Amino acid sequence: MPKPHRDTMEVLFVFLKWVASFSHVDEETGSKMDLQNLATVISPNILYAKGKDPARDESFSAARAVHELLELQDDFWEVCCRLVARLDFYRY
Amino acid sequence: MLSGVFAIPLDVLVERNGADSMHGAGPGSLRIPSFVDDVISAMKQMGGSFLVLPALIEDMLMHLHGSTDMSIEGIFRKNGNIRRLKDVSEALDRDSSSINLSDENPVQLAALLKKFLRDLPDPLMTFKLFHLFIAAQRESQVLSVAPSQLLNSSSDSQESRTRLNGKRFYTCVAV
Repeated sequence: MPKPHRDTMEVLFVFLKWVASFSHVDEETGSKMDLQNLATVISPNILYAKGKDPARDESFSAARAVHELLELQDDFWEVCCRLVARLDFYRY
Repeated sequence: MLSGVFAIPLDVLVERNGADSMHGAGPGSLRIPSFVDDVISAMKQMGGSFLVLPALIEDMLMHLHGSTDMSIEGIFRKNGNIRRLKDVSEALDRDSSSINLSDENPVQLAALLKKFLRDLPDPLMTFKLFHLFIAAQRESQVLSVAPSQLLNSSSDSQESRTRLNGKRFYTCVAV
């Protein structure tokens, strides 16, 4: 993934996790937008195929992929950091 | 020469109007389009106001400006005022300093951020990696098991917060 995309994605995902913390503030208040709902509305804007094939609707899979990444992001950024550390370790 | 904020490739935008954002996961900064950093900063300021303001004042503000906080129902789902979205995005394209983002309500800012993402010539998660992400989701083990395995098998305890470049991230997703 090109670095500007990767870095903007990290900032966006960290931000969306913060947005989701307002989904249920108390019994009456809350945006109702948890990570699942945010993934559903944001994925058509960030993960879609070039040239839409009407026979293969993958928007549901795309939303699930974004949802999983949003949920797992803390591990994910952490693993990436460790992986890079290891790659650097073996390189030099 | 590509000018403006919307429908510009991310690498061009970062080169021309980049900001060192502190909104990443780690302690360091990430170079992202300043528009994205500005929208997020403006929305971050709208977090938590409901805890501070008395309910009556909050209600009055809601009537005056629309909601001022992030707990507004349907944020990122609602499209906001389409006409205003068009006006603001056109103004930003002409002169990115002409708009004070904190004057917009959270739903409007969220809609603006969605428009920005949707207008990218190559989407945020890229056309190239689309099928890889879909495949990774199908094999959901790929995403959920790989991180823990990687963590357990790492022999060095070095926890450097080194930033990732694109190629390494690809490796990471593809593991």
